[in-house]
Amino acid sequence: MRASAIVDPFIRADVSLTGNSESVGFEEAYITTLDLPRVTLRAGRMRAAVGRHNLLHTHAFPFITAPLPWRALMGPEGLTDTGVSAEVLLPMPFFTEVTGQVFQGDWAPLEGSIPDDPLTPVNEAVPDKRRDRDLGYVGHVKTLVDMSAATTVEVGGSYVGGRNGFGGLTTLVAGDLTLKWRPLSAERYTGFDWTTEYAWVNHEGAPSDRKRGGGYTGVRYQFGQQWWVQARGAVLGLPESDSGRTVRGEALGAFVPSEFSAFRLQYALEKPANSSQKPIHEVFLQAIFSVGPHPAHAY
Amino acid sequence: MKRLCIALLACVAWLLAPSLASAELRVVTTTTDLGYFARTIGGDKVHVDTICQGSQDPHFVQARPSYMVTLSRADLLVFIGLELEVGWLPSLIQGARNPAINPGKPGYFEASSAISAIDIPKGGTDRSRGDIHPFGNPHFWLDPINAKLAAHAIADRMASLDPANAKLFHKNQQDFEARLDRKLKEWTDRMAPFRNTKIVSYHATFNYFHHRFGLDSIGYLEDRPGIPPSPAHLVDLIRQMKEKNVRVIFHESFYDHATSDMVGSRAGAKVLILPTSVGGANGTDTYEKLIDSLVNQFIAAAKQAKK
Repeated sequence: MRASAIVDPFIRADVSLTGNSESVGFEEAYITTLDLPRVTLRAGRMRAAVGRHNLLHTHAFPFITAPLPWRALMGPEGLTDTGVSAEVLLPMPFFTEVTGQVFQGDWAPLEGSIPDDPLTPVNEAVPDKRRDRDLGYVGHVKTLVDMSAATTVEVGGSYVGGRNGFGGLTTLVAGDLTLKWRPLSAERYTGFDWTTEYAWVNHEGAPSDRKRGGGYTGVRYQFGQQWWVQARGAVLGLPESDSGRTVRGEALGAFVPSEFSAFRLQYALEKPANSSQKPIHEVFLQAIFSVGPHPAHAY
Repeated sequence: MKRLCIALLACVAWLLAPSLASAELRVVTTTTDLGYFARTIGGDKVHVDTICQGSQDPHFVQARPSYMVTLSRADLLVFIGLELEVGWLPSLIQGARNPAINPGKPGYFEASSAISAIDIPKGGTDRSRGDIHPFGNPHFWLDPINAKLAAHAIADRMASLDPANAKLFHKNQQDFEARLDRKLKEWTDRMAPFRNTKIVSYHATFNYFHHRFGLDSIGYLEDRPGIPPSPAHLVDLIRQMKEKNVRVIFHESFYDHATSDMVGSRAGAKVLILPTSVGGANGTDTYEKLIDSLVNQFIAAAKQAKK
């Protein structure tokens, strides 16, 4: 559930709640400045500006599940934490934004163990050598160029760093590339986008090798006012490490009756890194709906 | 320390740069019609950028970050309002990080504030009725009288932001108004024989045009705005069109016209695929030519229907 309102001429507040049948919690709750030139400041609990996917709310995920390497490298909830952020629009002829963020850093990657990481050794004890003053730092740069009236290319790079539970430095670097095509005279009816993201993380000080890389590439194609088909391939263990490589493929079809609702069916096949394990088949059905004022869409 | 001070001063200078950068008034409009009004009024004293192209559906524009760059340099943002751009403009304003065009500032101008809206929904406005505009129909610019009112209000706003050129802006606006008055008489005279002609439309885009020239709109192909028409609704509409002898369908050029073609062929009506904004079709590079195009195409179809 999301709510957004202008507090006064200077600040907007955004809150989103998430939960299950047993509990509800804040996914995000932050304030944003409205009246500063070139820069947007935020404070509160928010998503870290790492690549593209980590900035999406669950309802806006292009697939029902987050990409396998993202769950494994950043944790099942993604990188969300309490902190401060500055996003600066550079005075360039094309869109270029630089973001700097500082968080409390209570993240699974910094704590050293990620439940969704199939490559993490089971039962490996993780000491807690993080101190209260050990923060998480994020840097992000994104640029977007219009190739034509219908086509844009977006390129981004991200850095996450902080002291981990083993006492060493955890470093995550990520890059993303997105191509979008939407013919101006038929924006309501057709469109295509292709996103590729890669992330690599190293946990210094861990008892076992914790250098990991993973990425995904996914395409979405709209072939009618209410219909989408999508496919995505993801690899965890790129380059391959001692603990092997997990591969996952996903296909999705979506029926979108209006801007305010969607029904999506997704099939996924995952081949675990351990070849003795059987492949996993998953089927998901999802209904998404939004009520309340018409929201403005992000690009 | 000295280097740090220099770096800080450079940052402050850079942050202040947009307000000092240009003497020319920089106007950004959402639609090409508003862009045409601003260019006509401002002449060579303003720089005008337009977000939508004339052939685009203004309800449904992608909030491209490149538009944020354009808006980040603007002194004045002129938009239609009545929630036409609600799905994309707020994201662009936020991303532009330009306090001059924030809501409530002189550089934020909603053109529909100058006109009286029609089609304000009565009763509840929940989304079971589709993507309706609770404050009225936003497509006001297709009534030339509204175009005059909007142009006048835009000239006033431009004059208040650039007082040195206020006289010129008002002179250009008065010249435009005089041109439109002459054209309006011509359009009204030519459309007079077709008053009360029954028509249908795909979406409610042309209602102000119909209202101005006395055309009788009996319905829409979309039974609820923004939602593809249901077969049951189309069957009923075709029946009504046959009963009431409706021979013309107004169809916006950015909507898929397969459904209108089917309805037209079954009901015996001509489908007019029409531009809705300046530049939306060949030969509509001015507002006067846009309305000329609508009038000419409608009259040709209506004459053919009478034969």
